[in-house]
Amino acid sequence: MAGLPFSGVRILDAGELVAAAYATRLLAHLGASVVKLEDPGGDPLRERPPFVERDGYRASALQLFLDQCKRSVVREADAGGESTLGSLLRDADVLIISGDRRRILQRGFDPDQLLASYPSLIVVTITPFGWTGPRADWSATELIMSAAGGWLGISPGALDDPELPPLKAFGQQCEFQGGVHGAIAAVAALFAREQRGGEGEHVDVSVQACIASNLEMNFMHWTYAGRETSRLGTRAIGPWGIIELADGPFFLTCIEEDQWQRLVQFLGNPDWADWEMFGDRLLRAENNDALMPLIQAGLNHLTCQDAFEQLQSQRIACSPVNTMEMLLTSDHLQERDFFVAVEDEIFGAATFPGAPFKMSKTPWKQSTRAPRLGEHSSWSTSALWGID
Amino acid sequence: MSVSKEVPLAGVRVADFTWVWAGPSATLQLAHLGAEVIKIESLERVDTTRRLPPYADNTIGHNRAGYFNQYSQGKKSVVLNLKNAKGLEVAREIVRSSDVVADNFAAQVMDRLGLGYEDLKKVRPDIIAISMSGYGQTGPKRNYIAYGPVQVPMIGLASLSGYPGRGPSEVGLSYGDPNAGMHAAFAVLAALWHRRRTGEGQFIDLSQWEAAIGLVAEGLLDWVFNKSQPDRMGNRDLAEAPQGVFRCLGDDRWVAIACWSDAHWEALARAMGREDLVGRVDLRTREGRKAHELELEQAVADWTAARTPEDVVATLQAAGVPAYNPLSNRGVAEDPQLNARGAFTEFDHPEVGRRRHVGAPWTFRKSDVRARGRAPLLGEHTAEVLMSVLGYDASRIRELDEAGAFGPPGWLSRHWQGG
Repeated sequence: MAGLPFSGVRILDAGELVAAAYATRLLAHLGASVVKLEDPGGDPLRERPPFVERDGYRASALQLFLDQCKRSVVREADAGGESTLGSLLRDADVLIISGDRRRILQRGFDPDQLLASYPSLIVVTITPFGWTGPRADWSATELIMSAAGGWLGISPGALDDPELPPLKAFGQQCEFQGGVHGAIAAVAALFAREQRGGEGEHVDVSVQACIASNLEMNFMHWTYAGRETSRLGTRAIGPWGIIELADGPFFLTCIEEDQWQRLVQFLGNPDWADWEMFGDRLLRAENNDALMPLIQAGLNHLTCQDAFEQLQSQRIACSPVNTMEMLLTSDHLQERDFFVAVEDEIFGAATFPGAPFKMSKTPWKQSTRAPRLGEHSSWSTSALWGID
Repeated sequence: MSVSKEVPLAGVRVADFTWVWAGPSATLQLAHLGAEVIKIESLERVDTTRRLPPYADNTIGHNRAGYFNQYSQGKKSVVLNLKNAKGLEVAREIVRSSDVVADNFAAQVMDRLGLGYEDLKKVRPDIIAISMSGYGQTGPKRNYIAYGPVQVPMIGLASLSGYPGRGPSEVGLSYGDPNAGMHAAFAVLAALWHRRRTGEGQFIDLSQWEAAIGLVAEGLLDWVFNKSQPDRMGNRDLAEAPQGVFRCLGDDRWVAIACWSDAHWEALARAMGREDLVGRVDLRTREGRKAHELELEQAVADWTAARTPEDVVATLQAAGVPAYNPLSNRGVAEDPQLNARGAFTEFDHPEVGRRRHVGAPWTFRKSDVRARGRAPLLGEHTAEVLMSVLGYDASRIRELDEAGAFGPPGWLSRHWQGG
């Protein structure tokens, strides 16, 4: 694809599950040629729910999303298969791989050895604990990365029942964050390689460190003020939280004082708004449990949609708690053409999330359906990379 | 002999109009990669994160806030009053000598300031501009406001997350912010790569909402294909069992354990001394374990209840079973793995001393990638940038100061020598 930023850049995705698949999804849609190299059993991503079943075929909808615009090659155990791998590695600019370090080594991807054989290669490993350090060989999945990065322990935040454990966010958020970090690191390494006259390197992404770098102000509560965080702690700012309106749950917060003043006005200047305990955003955070029911009582004659429009017209940050159906029917997302339809001969045409950002000169590449396992195994390497 | 390492973004300058968290987390990544990031700050509306706890030793001050000091590492701070004609002119001059302009205001705020993409392009035709608004630059709700915490309900993450039988839940972080920031950093890198080859700049319209919707693909696609939305399942997984956060010995102590393969399960059952479970045929497949999820969770809970998290984690990791205790901020700061990898920074800061922050989460074997230094004091580099980048002399800076280009007239000379 001429005209896209990464056209001509060749990426070999040998990852398992989400992180590498998401990193290479971002690169593929901006023009890179991405070959997904899978073990004979296939990327375990293919076994992740939700599933779509049609006419006796079954696929992971998550894989159908993450692997669009890629080609799939199965790595054969025999010598012929290894030579395909060799020629792919020789021609690739970047190898991106994710999973436990021990598993990556067991699969035969040792960055030092790869760089000795392919000195211009950029090897990006996205591993739970990073490539070095005393726990590099520890095992992790999504929940464990969240625990080790310090996210799980503070979630959901301001929990009212100490009998409930720390709470994981839905899905595979740490894997996704590892993926976008991996994509950043891969492109940065391309810039550096150009300056080095083509010499590659190993870039080591630790998902634990990625999550630890995304803890908002929580980390510094310890290093600045000696306060240890937990899921039971108070919020940073008030009002903040989910209330129940006439037809469903609704989220609202006032980050700045002027927003709070407009909310108070919207509610008809109730007496409680002047109470000392709600005197500033930090006091309101401390007393958020008392404040939110008062706000709820002042708003619960409204539907979520009415509250959303009326409060936003006062420049107050709020949103209905959207369901999947609400997202898919949003007039705003439709007008921006966010969702895309992708045709698949077996599973039909379906709606998928589209570009995470819109670039004016180099738009997101139109999606082609994700490959079946080994669909392109018989292709020549030049065809795989899209060289005619 | 010291070998000079390549700096990926050597020579790249960023005019950074961002504030709060999303934008600053994006430009922080660019700073780690070696870009010169000039943060344009307002004295009238000081960055929210300079005005929030934690403050060093609980003493309030714009330069003492940990939140700001984390996400501003290695950046420069220039104060400008963009509502003052001369202040705006200085901003345009900084843009003229920059490669990237970043903001995360609501849509059209930059346009109203006279710093929209069409204005910027006139100043610097090959500029790369990125706006990270909540809803994007177009569409019926483009003027709506959103902060990171609002993105959690907006993207549907709140409706999917939560304890079984309870309502939708927050997730402990203003998750929309760092996610938008990382996607923005990636988008800017792509635009820089494109410009290096073609000379062409462009505008990037990043909607924080859209940047995050893909992350709930498992929920969204279940609706697309099967017209069902997954129930809130706490710490369970859609497919694998047992997985959870289990109570341990001690006061409010927990451990996270996840079995995602037959091997994990067998090793866990053996580590718990439950040979009876190892032998059970109905637990040998993931479907079988999922069908007996409650029973298996109870078995794990009974075992962890009599042990400390450290004990459980050491035993299970030695057996190859994914496990970790949910770290607090203190646990993160003291974590042996993060410390061994040099994940933290400690720079000398004139007001807060040496404080631990989190540095770049990636290690490059041959390139110079790292947190570049401490966060700037408010307006610290105003005169320096005007001299070194724009070539202004002291008398011109004094004139600007008197004219209120930086804030209240005379602010710079009162606060900074050489201003």
